[in-house]
Amino acid sequence: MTRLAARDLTVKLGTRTALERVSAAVESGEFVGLIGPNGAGKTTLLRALAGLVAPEGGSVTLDVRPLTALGRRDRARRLGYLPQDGTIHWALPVAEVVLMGRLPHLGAWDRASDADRAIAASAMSALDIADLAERPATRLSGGEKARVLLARALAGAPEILLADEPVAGLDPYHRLEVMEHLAGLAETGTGVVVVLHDLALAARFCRRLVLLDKGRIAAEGSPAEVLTQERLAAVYRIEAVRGSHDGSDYVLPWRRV
Amino acid sequence: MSRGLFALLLVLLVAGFLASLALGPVAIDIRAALGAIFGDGPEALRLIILEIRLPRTILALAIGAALGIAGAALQGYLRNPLAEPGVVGVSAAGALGAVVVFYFGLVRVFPYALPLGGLLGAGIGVWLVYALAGRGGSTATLILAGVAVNALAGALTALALSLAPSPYATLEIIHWMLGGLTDRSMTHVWLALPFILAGAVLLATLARGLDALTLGEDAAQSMGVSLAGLRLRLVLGTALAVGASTAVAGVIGFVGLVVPHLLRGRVGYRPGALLVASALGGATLTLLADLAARLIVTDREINLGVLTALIGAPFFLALVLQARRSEP
Repeated sequence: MTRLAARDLTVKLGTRTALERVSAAVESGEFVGLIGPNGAGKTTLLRALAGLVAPEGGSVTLDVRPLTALGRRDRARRLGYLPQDGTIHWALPVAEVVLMGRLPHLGAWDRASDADRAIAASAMSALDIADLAERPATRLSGGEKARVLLARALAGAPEILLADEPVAGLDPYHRLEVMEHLAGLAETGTGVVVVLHDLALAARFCRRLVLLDKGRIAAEGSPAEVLTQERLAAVYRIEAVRGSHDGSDYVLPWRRV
Repeated sequence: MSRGLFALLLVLLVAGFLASLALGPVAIDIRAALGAIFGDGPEALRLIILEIRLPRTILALAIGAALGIAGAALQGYLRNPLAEPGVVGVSAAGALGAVVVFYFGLVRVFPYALPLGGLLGAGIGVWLVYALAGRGGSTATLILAGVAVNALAGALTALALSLAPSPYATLEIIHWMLGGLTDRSMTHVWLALPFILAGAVLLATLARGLDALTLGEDAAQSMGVSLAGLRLRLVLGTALAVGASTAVAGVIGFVGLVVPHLLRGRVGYRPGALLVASALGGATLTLLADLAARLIVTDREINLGVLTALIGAPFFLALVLQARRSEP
């Protein structure tokens, strides 16, 4: 059982306070959606959870140890992080990009072993990109690239996966595929935090939502508890259509208020 | 890097090394040349080999390797195929460091002041380029940073030139600006080689980090790469390798641009694998270019730096056009 927790986190970016006394946590097997309007601090919170920004106040702990007390490699093995709008700078074959996910598990002068290659290959077939293995990574469509980068993060087999908008730019089929895959990952014990703009997907797949607004937590709980009409109006300034289908509730943003 | 490519580069390098010993105004049999290194053969032959061709050959090899690996490292770190010690001004800054040391007569006080001056100049140069164009900046930013650093170093070198106290001093300063290996002795080899070696080894340790940087700074950091450590090793390694090179040979541009470009596809586009390959390729290319500089015109020599610029500049132009097409 692993638990990644932020407590009373305050983060400043330049002079702007991006997060103010935010507490949030994720445990093994949980699927948490991090939602909120543009500029609410979702990416900053995710980066802080990954140990990529030094907080002004508060702390991030993995189990009981502060993230800062963990070795870089140890942290890299246990926490996976998928940045938003990832770019791939060189024309490496897709298989090599995915294999990079194994870096935290390799010693300084080790080469990737057959086992590493097998793990990378299974991450690729799980995301339906096995046939892209030899394609130069600079010649991918937006959707293909998003899946390649997610496969890279999965290849690291982290205990906790932090994904920043993994479905941005994907068509509906692949959005559902990625969300189903992440949900499956959570079911097999990985803790998953996803930043999402798509409220319908968030409501449908995430067990728990954390709603950020202007650097603070506006609400936290099950989708039904968080995505109330009043809160959508107050935080997102929208009105949504809701209903239920196949026994689960859905939310569809409908008009501005 | 695959074994085949490594073997091929090594064979080319050895061939270039032997050709550089054997060819020149006087052609010398390779076996006789090798014998002379170990003290065999007539006095005149040993003099030519040990005093003239061997130091020149060793320097061409070491400096070419330094420029090749520094070019590959800069490109990997800045994630831009146009980064190169000459283009971004690191070489010019290194040459300026050496010129300053020379101008104030520090060499007479302490011979190692020369490579140290080059090292300091090159170090400041890399740091400026990083400050102006780091963090995966666009090609335009990188080129502008290079223009700025080159202009600054060039202006200060020209100032030293215009204030030069004697025609001899003028000639020496021009040598650094044009770049070349004429009249270099074993003293120069001992001055430069330890620094170049240390720098190249330091740059070779960047491989893993540069691979990870392919996915951007956040992803690299999340995979356990220390960005601060990587940057420090890059700046130090480049300063050591390029600074010591320019201190003895002046500005030899474009080697670090052309070589990684030619080899990138052959190492599967991995920036880490490109490092050692570019060191080998850079050494070979510089040996061959120096040989050409010696042999093309018979009564006078072309400066090596001039020759590499003549070949490299059109190559650079083509790359800029290519980059402009791929950037929206």
